Amino acid sequence: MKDRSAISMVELLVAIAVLSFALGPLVVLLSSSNQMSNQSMYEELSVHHCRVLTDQFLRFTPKISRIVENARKITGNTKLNLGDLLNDKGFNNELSDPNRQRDFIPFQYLGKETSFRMFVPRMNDVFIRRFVEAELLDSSSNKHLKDANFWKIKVTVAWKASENEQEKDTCMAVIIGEDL
Amino acid sequence: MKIQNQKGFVLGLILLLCIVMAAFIFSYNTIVRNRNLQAHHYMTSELVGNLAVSGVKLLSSRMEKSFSEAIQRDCPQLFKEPADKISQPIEVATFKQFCSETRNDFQKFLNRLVEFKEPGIIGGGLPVCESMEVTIDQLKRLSPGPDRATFQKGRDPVEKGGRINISCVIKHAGLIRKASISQQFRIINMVPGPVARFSLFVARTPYPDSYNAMGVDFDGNVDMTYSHPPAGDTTFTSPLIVLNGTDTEPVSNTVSFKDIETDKKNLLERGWIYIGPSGSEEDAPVFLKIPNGFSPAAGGWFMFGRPTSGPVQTLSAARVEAGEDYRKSDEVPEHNFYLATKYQGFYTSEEGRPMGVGSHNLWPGLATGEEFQPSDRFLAASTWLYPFGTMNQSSRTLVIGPILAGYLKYYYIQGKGREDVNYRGLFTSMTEEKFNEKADAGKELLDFCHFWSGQATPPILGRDFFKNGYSSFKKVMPWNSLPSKNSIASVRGVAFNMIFDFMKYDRNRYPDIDVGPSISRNEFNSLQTHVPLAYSMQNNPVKGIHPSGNMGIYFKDNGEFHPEIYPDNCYFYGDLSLYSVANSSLNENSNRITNVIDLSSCKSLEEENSRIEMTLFKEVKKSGKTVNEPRRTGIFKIIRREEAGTVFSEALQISSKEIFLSKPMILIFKNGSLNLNHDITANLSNGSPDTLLTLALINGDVYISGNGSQRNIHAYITAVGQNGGRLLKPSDNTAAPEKFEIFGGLALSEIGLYQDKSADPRSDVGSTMLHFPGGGKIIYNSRFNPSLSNYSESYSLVIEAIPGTLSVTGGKN
Repeated sequence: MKDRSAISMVELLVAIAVLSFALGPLVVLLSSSNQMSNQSMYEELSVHHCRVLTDQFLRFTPKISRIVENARKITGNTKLNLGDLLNDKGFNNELSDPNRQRDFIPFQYLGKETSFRMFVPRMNDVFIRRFVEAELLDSSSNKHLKDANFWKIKVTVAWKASENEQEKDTCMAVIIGEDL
Repeated sequence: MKIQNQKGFVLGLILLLCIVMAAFIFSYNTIVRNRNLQAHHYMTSELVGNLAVSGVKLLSSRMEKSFSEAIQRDCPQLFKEPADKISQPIEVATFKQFCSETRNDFQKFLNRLVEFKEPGIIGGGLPVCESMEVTIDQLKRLSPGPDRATFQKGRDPVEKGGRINISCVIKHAGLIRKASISQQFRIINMVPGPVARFSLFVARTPYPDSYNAMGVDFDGNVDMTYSHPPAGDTTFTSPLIVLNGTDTEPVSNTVSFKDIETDKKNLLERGWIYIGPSGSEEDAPVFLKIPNGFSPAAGGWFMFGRPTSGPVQTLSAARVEAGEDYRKSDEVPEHNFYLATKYQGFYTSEEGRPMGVGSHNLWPGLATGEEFQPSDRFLAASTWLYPFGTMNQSSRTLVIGPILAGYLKYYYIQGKGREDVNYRGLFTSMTEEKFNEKADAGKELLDFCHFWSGQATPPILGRDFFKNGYSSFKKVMPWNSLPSKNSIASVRGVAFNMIFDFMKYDRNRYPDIDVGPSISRNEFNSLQTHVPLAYSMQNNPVKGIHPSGNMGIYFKDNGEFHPEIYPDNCYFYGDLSLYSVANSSLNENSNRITNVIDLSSCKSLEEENSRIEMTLFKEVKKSGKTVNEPRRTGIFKIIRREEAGTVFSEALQISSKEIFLSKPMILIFKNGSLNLNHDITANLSNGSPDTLLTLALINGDVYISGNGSQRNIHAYITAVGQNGGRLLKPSDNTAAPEKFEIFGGLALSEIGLYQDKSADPRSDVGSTMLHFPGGGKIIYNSRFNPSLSNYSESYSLVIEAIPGTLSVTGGKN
């Protein structure tokens, strides 16, 4: 019997066809998994970045009136409240600024910095935005939680893993009271 | 060798490879998916956890406000019973209503978190506050003892510490998180200690006549021509008036008689007065010379009786029964006369007599000899301190301390002789030898009088009139109630507490000083909250003087007056003369202290001022002006820089603007003085400040400075200590008001003048009297009185500002 080579053309073609059928979806799946993995990582990191801020807001609670008083003295605006400080554009710009030099960002109002600061760790380039929004909650019909400014403070961290990917964000919220 | 057929192995290998790769990639994908879910779960978990912490913190922040009211309503035993009489832990159900209402409030806030609404759930999907709960445990008394040392400091058996456990459960997106906080709390009374029972507490007096420095005219107006030599010729222009409560009463000819029930009410509800002895002896006397006249400005006759109804108001005279000493009117033919006696205060001038009562030479013992000399005029000065208010605002109370009332009593005869000719004469004083000389010489009655007008015909001879000679005459000689100023102990004189009886305004008779004041009688033996040690007052050598040594301040008149057997009815038991802030329940190590403010690291007074103001107060708008308001309730110990002395230039200024009291506070200053350069006020409720403030200085003086003519302070000020303890004005050119009005109470180490300014160990500073010749006013706030039933309203719940532990757990439990 004449010796025959180990691989026949047909066999090779069938193998290539099978491989190409199998590899396509597997590569897509792998790529998608990688993307998902990155998302998970960035989502966790964004939660962490949010938490750094929300934890500080919750810890500030006994000191809020002092922070606001200090800001009122410095700015001369006697009607200023916590919402004005947290919604300040300059403060929020600095929260997102990747090139800022300092780790502690002072509360500020229209460019005037107060004596109280927050620790805000710098984020890597994937995170494109970090901002705080404070919304005054209506407490007029409340029985005990009243006679103070109650704020819903929402912290948002947005990221974009790559140019082609969609922007995503993580939101956290806390509710704190500011004594009048 | 036969080669086996290997056809088809590549395909198999590829298939195997594909299967392995697919397995790996699917596994990886599964892991990534799980991780992705976890990441999302992590985010939701953090959100729910944050909301739970928000809820528990909001609940905690409301504890001192709403909860304090709720706990007083729902759990009154916490504010009325000692810790060991309350079963623990206190049932959650007790605070169910409060928690449920707060939960509803918080849910309204959660309903605004629309960004976090779970998709696909109609009418729901928002975070839900499942529950809020409060429990209390670990209750423990704050007061140590009971032992003598504790009672000496002042002991409140109800004050307690404990732990509040607060929790909030939030449910969202299938996750449940419970945040719990445990916070220490104290229930403390905002009454500073035993001195709070007193409107005015002065630990020591430099010398017996220390307070007698003000000149008044005969009618009771201030004599502005009089300057007091022992005070460096200072003119005292207005008295220090003490109103021992808000129930003052004007004294007019229609003023009502004070029956025993009114007496009891006055003694219980009003602040008492304590004035310490004038020397090293515990009962070294202090003289308070009552001023003359009915003028509302400074007249003191209201302390003896009501005025007559005529246009010129005078003090009614008391008839003297002739009896066995004098001839009766009907024993003397053609005469119709009567003997009477009048009380008189001290005055430094009267119309036509610029030297005042001294020049009448009505009493023996003048400084420069038997006859009055102008240099004796200072003896006619009356008290600058008015412990029983004024004519328009009378306010009698119990006086504790060796205080003697100084007044004059003189006797006169008035009648008609032959042909209805009027005559009257004022008996003078003389020695027995002189009396006998005149009697033997057959002198007429006018020769035994200092003042005589009219003619008594037929003549009445002295030897006939005074049946028992000099012993009868002595009984009508002018009488000075004060003993020699050199007396070292109160063995004679008239207790100032007798004035309490004069101010009953009896229509029929003046009180009998030989019997002693009614408040020292048996009926008060069982009313120790009204008059402690009444029986000992009766047995004192001077009836009515409150004995020195141990005494008690009790909560209730329930007969439980033994501090060792019934410790929980006793607020204070000890010697008032040993009181100091450092030796009271406000001492620097007291476990009543809820907050410590350490200024010792400050570099300057300005830094201290700024830090203390920022720590204690916040700015608010009140009636159109910016004032400071306390941030929180508590007993604060303030530690200053070590180098902070007692001088004005180092005195701490707690506020750069007026303070409005919205929360009760006790401020204890461990060292240094205090500069009050702005008013401190609170809302008045039932006539007195409704929010209590105590300023307690362990070693320091209280300076009053700033703009305005009067400083108003709604607080109890206590500055009784080894160093300092005076109320002063700045000695430099700093602006200061002439007067002060303290609505609360005042306790100082010393306020009186020294006989000689140079004898004052702090002559460089000067005494309170020297600094305030324009006087002032102290009004007692009965909310400081531990013996009143509303004492329990003075308790405050103080929760530590920063929670001890905060935990967030999954699930409801």
